[in-house]
Amino acid sequence: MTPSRPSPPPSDLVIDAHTHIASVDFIPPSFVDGIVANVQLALASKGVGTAAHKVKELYMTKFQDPLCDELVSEMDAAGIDRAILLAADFTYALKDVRLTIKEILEHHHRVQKRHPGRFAVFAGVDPRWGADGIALFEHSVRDLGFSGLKVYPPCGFPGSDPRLYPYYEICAQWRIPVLVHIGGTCPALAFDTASPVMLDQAARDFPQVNFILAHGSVSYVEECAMMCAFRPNVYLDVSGFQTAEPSQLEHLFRRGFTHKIVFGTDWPLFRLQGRLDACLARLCADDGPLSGLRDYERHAFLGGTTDRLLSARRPPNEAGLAKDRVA
Amino acid sequence: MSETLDQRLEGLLREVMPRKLHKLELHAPMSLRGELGIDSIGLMSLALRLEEEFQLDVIAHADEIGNVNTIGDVRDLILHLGRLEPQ
Repeated sequence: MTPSRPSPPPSDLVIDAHTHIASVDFIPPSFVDGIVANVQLALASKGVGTAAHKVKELYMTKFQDPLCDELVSEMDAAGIDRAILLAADFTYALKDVRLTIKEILEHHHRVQKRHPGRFAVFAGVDPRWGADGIALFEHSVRDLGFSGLKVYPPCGFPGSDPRLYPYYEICAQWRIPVLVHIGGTCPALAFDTASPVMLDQAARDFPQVNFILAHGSVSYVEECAMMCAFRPNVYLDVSGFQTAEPSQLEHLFRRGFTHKIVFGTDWPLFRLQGRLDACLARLCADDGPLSGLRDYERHAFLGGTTDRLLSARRPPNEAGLAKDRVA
Repeated sequence: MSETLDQRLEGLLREVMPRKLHKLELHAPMSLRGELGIDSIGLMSLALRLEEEFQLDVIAHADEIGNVNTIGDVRDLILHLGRLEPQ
């Protein structure tokens, strides 16, 4: 019996749906300090009394790639064709960001041009920047060719915050996706806004916009699974899977919404665990978490679904969606 | 290969392995993450303990340390980059 296949079949592209530029210009020092503080506590619990500066120094060895040359080199070695480069906006919530959000987005544009065809950039803009922020986001999509919106609720606003709706309207017009951070993060930020259920109202109000729940295989897994299974426009990326048992991913793949789950690594956050080729090899090993998938499901997970979400991008007049703006 | 190195390495690995796997007999091809069940914090603990025990510079060799997969890889790393004299 031949299994039924989605139509059209997913592309063979491998796309990492969750990466960042490895530099403290974009992942600020206070963010890294927060991660280091938690790691140091966990190490101490295992009897390793390493000083915080040592752990931070170790982390910082992997945050020295502002132009993404090392990232592209690792992607090449791993057979990863493209990556979504996420520019989260910490400039409103954290006070130690050296650049403005405009400068941050311009730098991402330079990186995109430096490596043609390798990156789709999702621009993050804190909605508290008001009309200037909306204009900046629209400019980044229209003039810089960016491919989506990055929302970071731990900065202090839930995914359904009305101040985000003008951004979602732009995404609807351009048919571009939104990637939303889910779950805990650096302790300098808020956790009470980072539940996937807090995005549900926006997902209902913008059925034409596709939302990707970042880290959905490790944070609020049950809630993310519910959203993916029942909201047609909600997907999840598995970035952060490196911290969990492989069986956790296998279990997720058996829940009937494999077509909503996409590959992502959160590079450079897990670089200390090895290069991207080793990471992908562990995922794709004969006894690895993808071993139970059919070929077309594996292609969809590794890049086909993300390729489909990115390929929908159209200028508003071409898509004829300008009149669909939410009032 | 000195027996002392194997014993010292086994001691470090058992420090970071889950207790339920402590009855496992360890062999060079065994994977750290899969067969030995060592999690991300365990791997970092192992790296820092390697520095203490074998003076392996984890900052200078973060790449090599991050890419180890098996017990044999760790052993090779110590032989190539570490100092074997007990401290």
